[in-house]
Amino acid sequence: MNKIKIAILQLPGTNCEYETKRCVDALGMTGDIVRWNSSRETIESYDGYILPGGFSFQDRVRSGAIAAKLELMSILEASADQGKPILGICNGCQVLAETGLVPGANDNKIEMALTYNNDNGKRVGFICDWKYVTFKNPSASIFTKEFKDTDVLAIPINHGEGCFIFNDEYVDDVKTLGAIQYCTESGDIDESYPTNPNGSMLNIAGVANKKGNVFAMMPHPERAFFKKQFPKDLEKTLSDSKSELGPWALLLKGMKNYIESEKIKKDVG
Amino acid sequence: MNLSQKEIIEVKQILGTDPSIVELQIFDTMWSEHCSYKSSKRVLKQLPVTGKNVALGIGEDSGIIRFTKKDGKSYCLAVSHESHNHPSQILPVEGAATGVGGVVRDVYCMGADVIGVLNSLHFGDQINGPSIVKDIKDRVILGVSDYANPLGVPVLGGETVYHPSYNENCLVNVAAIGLVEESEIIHSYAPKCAGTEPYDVILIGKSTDASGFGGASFSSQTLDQDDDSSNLGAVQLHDPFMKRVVVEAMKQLFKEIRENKIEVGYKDLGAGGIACAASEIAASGGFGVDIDLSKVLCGIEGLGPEVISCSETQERFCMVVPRDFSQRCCDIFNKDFDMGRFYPNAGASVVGHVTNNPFFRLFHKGEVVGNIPITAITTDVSVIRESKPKEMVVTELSESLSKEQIKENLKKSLKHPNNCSKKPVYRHFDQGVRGDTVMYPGEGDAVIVTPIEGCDVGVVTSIDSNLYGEHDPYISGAYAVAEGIRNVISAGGLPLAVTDCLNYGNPENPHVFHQFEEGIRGIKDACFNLNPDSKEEPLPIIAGNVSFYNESKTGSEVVPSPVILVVGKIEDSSKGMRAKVDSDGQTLILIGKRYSEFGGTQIGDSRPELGNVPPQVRYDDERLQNTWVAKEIESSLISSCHDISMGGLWLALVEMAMGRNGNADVGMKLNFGSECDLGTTLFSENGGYVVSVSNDNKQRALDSLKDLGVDFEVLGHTTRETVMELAQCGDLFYKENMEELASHWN
Repeated sequence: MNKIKIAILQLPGTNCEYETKRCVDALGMTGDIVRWNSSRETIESYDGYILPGGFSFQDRVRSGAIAAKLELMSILEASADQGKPILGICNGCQVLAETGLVPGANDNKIEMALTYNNDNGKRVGFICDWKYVTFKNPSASIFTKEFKDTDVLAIPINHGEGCFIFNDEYVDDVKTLGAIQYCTESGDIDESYPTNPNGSMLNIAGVANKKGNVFAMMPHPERAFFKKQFPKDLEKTLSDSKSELGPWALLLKGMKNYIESEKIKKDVG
Repeated sequence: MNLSQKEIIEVKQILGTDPSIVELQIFDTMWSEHCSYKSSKRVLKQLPVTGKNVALGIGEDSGIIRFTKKDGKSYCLAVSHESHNHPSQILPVEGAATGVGGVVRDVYCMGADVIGVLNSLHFGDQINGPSIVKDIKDRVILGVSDYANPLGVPVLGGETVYHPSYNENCLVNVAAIGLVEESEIIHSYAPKCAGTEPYDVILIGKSTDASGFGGASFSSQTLDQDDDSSNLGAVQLHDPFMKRVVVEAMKQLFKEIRENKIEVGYKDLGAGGIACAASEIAASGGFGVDIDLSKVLCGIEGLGPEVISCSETQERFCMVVPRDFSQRCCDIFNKDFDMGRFYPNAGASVVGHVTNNPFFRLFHKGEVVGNIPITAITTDVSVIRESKPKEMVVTELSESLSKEQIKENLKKSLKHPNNCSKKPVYRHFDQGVRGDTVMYPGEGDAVIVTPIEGCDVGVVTSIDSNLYGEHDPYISGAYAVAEGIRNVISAGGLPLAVTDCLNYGNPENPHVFHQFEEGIRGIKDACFNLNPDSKEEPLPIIAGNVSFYNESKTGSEVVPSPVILVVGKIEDSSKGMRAKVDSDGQTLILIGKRYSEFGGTQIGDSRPELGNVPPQVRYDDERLQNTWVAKEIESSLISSCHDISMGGLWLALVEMAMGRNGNADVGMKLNFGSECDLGTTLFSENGGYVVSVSNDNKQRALDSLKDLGVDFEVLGHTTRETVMELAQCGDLFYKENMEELASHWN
């Protein structure tokens, strides 16, 4: 089997592409930083895609709004339909929301938005801090498949607009999707600030599409991918294994496993 | 315009004719204090600037120090350190943001990738000052985060200092650190071969507009000389999004330059815009230059030649390249990165060429609009300033603090903006982007990042200043260096180099100039006396900046504020030392003697009976303390370590209990001896450390302290019950829940 190739998409204003590539490479896949205006053939040649964090197009209009209109995104939509995995982190999450790829209950129509961080409506500004999250329906997405719903993990957030809002009519659907939710150290889904640092509905920090192959998350797994990236007071949340990889490596492990199994299917087919 | 009559006459003599408006603008910029260092240069000469590890000393856009070797490559750190005080007072968001934007450009243009920035922010009195000082604070913080976060560089630390002397003149100092391989350093002058083959000048980045016109000259006068509306135009506008794209394109450009072994000169556009950058890049290579201002890509139409040549539009660079590479160079920005598609006229264009004529010539629409002998630009302008100490009466401690006063101050001091947790400030700053942060702000006395892939060697860095200069300007310089060194050592690192940003009032006032001279003397002495690596060689100063004219509208200057950055290294970043004590049964040891020296300290400020002598820096004692701490962190004897500075031992203890998250896991039970003056022990700000050691290591720690002859005192131990207990000779005089203390400090 050929080495798995992941495109880490660089939009004007993307700023987390290098550390994201490092994570992809660390799992034995090949991460290429691929510019937004690359040819369709180039983009289509990849097995999976990551939209990393940043401030694409200067957050003009709304975070992610301009990027969602690029030709690149229509290529990704088609790839998602074919079952290729797509992960959006932070600004990448905002871009996926603006394209309607997640939660995707209704033919990629826009069903959710990300608004400013708030505590009961009061703006709390840009937040850079470590938070705890837990997993909901982990088996419903290829990205969360390797986790258990009892897992409580620390992860950094770093955004000004990370409050998930869903149309009321989709809320019940969202509850069935693979998702991560902000929680306390002991795993309680406490809806109040600062456990829920941005006021998200259902404490959502990340959510998959219905099919499970697209995942959009505001926290930064690439900054909690290696054990050494954790502050000392959070080391207690790490496993005792000798591996240098931290808990969030499983997110990309899920992506890798999925691509491998799809490839085997194809090879067999 | 800020040129004096005398200087205008000199300009006429140099040109042999009346200067054109473009020429006048250029001289105004180049001869401003900001660009020429005309008052300060003579004094700065005494600073140590060389050393065995200095790869590039002061003179170009950044200083560069050798950091570590890996796989046969020599990795270096490029550092730049600058102020952006006046713009931040007038337009705090834009001023602070462009402060970050300017300093990172200095590092990028050396071929380095910025791995982090630090800031030192000085604001007015938040409690009794006018309401605008709070607004300026909030907006400066927003400005820093508005730039660094989108650019994708982590804020690796900083400090916020509050004092009434900053009410009408805040200080915003920013430093940037970049990583570059020694063989890949790019210089900011035209290479030798530009004399024998055609070299073009290319302007890169955002399209030129009128923003920041007159900025350098504006920073070289006091704020009350012009009305606010004319100052507004002198503030630059930030666009970190644009910068990120330019920097990504530059990476591609530098890659091709290296692969093809092309010799270039590269420089950022800062103060004085095109005029300054184009003339300096040519002049420092020994050449002249012709610039056609009509070829500059402009964001708006109808700009006059003096504006195009001198505006300080941000996010621009200038380079000189062999003509046969010019097209490819422009294509990278204009085609590959398609910059014009998301900002009108952004990108790269050829605007001139290097010449062998010793003139800086500017053309606009076919006409010569400036023709300046290149030597006039490189001419050393200097002025001699009068220096005279301020008259001061030195007073000693006349009355110790009573137990009641002490108890009252314990909780109260934790709430003061200078002492409380700074998390409400730094939580707005991205600290983890690039994924290299291994010790976060708030975890220890310095921040650690590991910027080289697959390498555990960490950069350890801290930025510091103090308020002692009002009482002794020498101490403010010496103490700032001593504290920076302490912070790096306390985090497990060893200092490599120092940078300074020197903020003072109007140098035309003899006592202000004296403060400046004394500050430099203090910095120099500390660099010579406190280099842990060598007794003979000083710690080198590799970059710096002088900012004068920081004063109130009524003409009183800011507290002398030399801001010091120390950059160091830790061989094994997993050994980074934290400040938090998180287990019970740890013995707490005070390292370094306390003295009744309260001038400029947090408690001394409002109590004349405590005297006005500021905390002295006793080089021999500090050297010894540093040696012991460095050695015993390396030997893993110490479990946690925190330095003592502003707020004294008391604040150090509370911070060790609270840690990054601001909640204590353990309590502290402390007992002071009969001979100690409690007020002095708890609140004096003499340099020192508090360390915690486990029971198993306690005896070894005490023995090794005695062996080395370090002054120390066992304070007590940590307890499972989260309560702070203070006693003297077993007599308990203070008991408080940690939660209660946390609610004051957080």
